[in-house]
Amino acid sequence: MIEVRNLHKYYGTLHVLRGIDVDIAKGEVFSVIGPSGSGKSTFLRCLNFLEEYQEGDVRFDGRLVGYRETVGKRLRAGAGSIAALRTRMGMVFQSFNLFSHKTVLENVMEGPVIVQKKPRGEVRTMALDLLAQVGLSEKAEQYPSKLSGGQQQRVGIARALAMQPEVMLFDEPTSALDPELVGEVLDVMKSLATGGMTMVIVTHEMSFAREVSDRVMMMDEGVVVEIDRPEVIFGSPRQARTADFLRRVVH
Amino acid sequence: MDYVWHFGIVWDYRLVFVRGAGITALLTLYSTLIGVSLGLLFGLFRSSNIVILRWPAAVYIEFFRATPVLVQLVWIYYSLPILTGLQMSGIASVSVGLGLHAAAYFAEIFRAGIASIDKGQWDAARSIGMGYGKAMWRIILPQAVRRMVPPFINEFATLIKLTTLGSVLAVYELLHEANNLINNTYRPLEIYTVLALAFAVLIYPIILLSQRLERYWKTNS
Repeated sequence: MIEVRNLHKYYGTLHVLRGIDVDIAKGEVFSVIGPSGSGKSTFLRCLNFLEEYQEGDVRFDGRLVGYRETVGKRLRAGAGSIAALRTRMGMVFQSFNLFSHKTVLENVMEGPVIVQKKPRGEVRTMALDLLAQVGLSEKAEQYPSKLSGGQQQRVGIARALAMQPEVMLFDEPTSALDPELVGEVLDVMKSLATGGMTMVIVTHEMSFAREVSDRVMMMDEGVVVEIDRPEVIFGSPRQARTADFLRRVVH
Repeated sequence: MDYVWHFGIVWDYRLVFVRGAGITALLTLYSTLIGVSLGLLFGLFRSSNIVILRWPAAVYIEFFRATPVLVQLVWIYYSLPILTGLQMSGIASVSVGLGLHAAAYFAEIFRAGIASIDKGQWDAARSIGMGYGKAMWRIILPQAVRRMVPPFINEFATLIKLTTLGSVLAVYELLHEANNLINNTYRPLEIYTVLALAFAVLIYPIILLSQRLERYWKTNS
């Protein structure tokens, strides 16, 4: 479903992604781990072109993300086609990024109503269903600032799901949360995974990654260290760098 | 001091003040409309990452902030007709002049307001498939506007006060009417005092409204 080939990303002269190759299959739960600054989040943001990349290919369902191919060179894709692609990929952010001037329900309805132009009544029913799914029915009319971090992040997940995306991208969804609120967010993600959603998860929650992932990718300094099943990565990693990293984070 | 106040004279000529206030309100309305719409445009241009939009907007803004309003007004009233043959009425000149002037300040208010919104809001808007326009109009501006209100009201109040410059271009706004009245009555103390109070009465409710709005939005977001 997602194919990444020789992906390179620069911030000015800083070379943050240095040739990433990976395929992510439909229905797969794919976790990305690694030390901070290893390029995990940048990698994730390249998948829906929130970050531009300079070399290599990101393909979603066979279509090149962010660029159009013409003879001999590639040009940036039109804004419309980039936006259309993003509606098929939900994204959940470390800092939630809920629209603070809109209620919880309005946050969830915004995409389907305004971008996908679905009828408001129909969207409202679906949004309330989604809020029930993440356990926040009673918060529908509240503003985000009245919610705890864990509740805000569950709204963030509902907002992304409201677009009925084919894949969900999670950018360190629990890193900004107080420890006691991490569980409620992971529970929602776990039920999504069980439901067969394709998920790419950048995370520091090792036990969660181990439990829900089909495969885990270890990154360091902009390259892939190894990709394997969680039993291998967390049980007997092939690379010394992975073992080192896990020894430092899992104590 | 044994000056004998005769505020009765102001009451006798109250219609002159009302007429002047009407013109003052009209000048404020026109120049605000011009200032806000051009200001929004220049503010967006200056926030843009497209150089051919950003650069001219920056030049405009800095030029109008760096020159005195009074000079801008007399230039429009006296020099523009010589150059272009376009002679506007006093009211039009003041409205356009103050409008162009205010646009520079409103543009900065819009730009700063837009810049103050967390980048994550753009990310979230883009991630649900919004383009620049929708994200700006539905997500960024509504939040930015709340932060713009205090400086906006400030600029609006300044604009009301600046309309008194219209007296220089023979526009019958409050100050000009007051000056005429003084020529007829020789009562500058009373008339200027009432004039100052009249402006305070016009402007204070606006400041009050902005404080109310700020408080309302603080509790409802």
